[in-house]
Amino acid sequence: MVIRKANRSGISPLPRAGPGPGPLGRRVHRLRQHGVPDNFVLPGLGYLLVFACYPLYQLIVMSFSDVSSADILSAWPSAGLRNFRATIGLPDFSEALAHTVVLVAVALVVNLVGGTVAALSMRVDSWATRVALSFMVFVWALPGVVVGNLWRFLLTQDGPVNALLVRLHIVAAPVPWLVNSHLALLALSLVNAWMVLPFSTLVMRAALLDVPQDQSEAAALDGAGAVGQFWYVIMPHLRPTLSVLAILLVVNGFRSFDLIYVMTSGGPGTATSTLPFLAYRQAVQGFQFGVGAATAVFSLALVLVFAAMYAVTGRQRATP
Amino acid sequence: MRSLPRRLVVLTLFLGYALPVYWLLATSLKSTQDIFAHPAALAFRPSLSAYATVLRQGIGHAALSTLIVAGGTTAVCLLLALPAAYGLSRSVSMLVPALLALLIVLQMVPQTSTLIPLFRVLGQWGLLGGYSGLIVADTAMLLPFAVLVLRPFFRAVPREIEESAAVDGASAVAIFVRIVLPVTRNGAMAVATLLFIITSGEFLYSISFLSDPGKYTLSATLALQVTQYGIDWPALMAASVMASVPAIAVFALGQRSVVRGLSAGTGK
Repeated sequence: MVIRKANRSGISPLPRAGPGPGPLGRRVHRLRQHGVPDNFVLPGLGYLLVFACYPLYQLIVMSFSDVSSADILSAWPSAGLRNFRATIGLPDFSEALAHTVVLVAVALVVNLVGGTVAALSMRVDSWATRVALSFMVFVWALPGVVVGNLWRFLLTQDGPVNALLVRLHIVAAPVPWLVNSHLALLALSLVNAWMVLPFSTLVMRAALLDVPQDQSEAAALDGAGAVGQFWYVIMPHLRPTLSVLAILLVVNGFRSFDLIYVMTSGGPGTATSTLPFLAYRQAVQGFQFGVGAATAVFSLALVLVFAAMYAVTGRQRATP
Repeated sequence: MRSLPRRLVVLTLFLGYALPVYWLLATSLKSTQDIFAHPAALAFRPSLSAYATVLRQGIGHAALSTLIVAGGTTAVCLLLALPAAYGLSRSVSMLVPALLALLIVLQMVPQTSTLIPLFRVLGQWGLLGGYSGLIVADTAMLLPFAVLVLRPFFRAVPREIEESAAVDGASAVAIFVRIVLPVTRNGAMAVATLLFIITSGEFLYSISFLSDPGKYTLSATLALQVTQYGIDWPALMAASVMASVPAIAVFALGQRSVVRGLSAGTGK
């Protein structure tokens, strides 16, 4: 992949030849020793400390405090673990956790399998591939609000999807996609997976282009079939990318909000409410800032576990 | 023989992505009576009445807001991210891995988690209600992503060029601005495109931090219309098409570099 190439040139030893001691030599030496001034990082770092890290710290404080809408801007009395006990004890919470798991599972299956199949099918560059790929990339660039809106329309009782299914005699009567709670969760998960699939396809396609062609040819000469070639020659090259992709998909699932807000508003009832959506509902609609913060901190902790996995997987990839 | 399943997959993907996009466009060009008469019909008599409706409702202002917010965020974000990514790509400090880990973590934080605390922080700084606060919040959300995607582009720049410039007596800032930045132009373009697309699609911060609905961005208007008003599908789809225009336009300009940058960015 492009990264690995970049890494390789990044760590390549610098040529030893160059100016000797003296002011110029010292300047170059300094450049080599310390890289470019670390000060370049400071403005961005300072910004993040104030507007990203400090709010996160506030969130954690809030999750251990008693915060109502009246004292949101003043001091907060401590609440100990009360907020966490309150939210984890709610049926809404375990439900939202289960919904998040379903959303993530569907995204994983569709994107890991589908992304690989799509990338394999689009490996050969033809006009058909290019047209299909540009529609996919176009959808990927659409705002979540637009995608949610579009599918809310496509999936209405008398909408195009049902009309098409009835006309093709796949179903006898229109399917209540967003009305039935189980179907709504399934539909939402599928649309979410559909929205991310272009990204997965691009990533897998890039990984596939790095697979040495001669290995496949050698395997073919040794009599390996298409399946054998894929499993023993191509798959080992794809595995690192697949695991990074899997972690990105999990994190994406734990951030899912836009699509849900627009497509189902968490409903019918709470049928499609996920952890981030529950945190939003508790804090913004229920004014239970402390409880909402506790929910957010809990899902953040889960995301951090995956972030750690991402970092470890990334390191393994950098040093094959 | 071997390529038949392949072609089927490509065809399925084409239909799976092109048809919904077609319906989005087609519905925005239909009249309300036409929609459910033949919902799956591909041909229809086009009308621009839905667009007239959303223009009357003031979508022009929303488009302007989107330009201000997305343009402002992209500019501020790049201004901070370019030097930071360069510094991180060249620094040999022991802190670099820790900083990268911090960026990865920040990039993964759900937007809903930072909403309430940011509300408080922006309030304390007097930044609530206007565009500036929203740009500040959007920049905080996207800066880690921008730095992480930009860093590989800087790492790919051979250090020899910088060294020879240093020998010629150029300062670190001059080397960065005159030598390194021009070389990494493609990467910067790709990230700028992505930043613009993501910001123009953002709505949660917009509906929370902008006090005046007259200042709402396209995405914010659309998100609220969905929940507030009845179902005027052609108008909703027309507004959706309008909300996609910034993404479409920027994307048309930078698709190639985006696709390349995207595959570079995933490995971090």
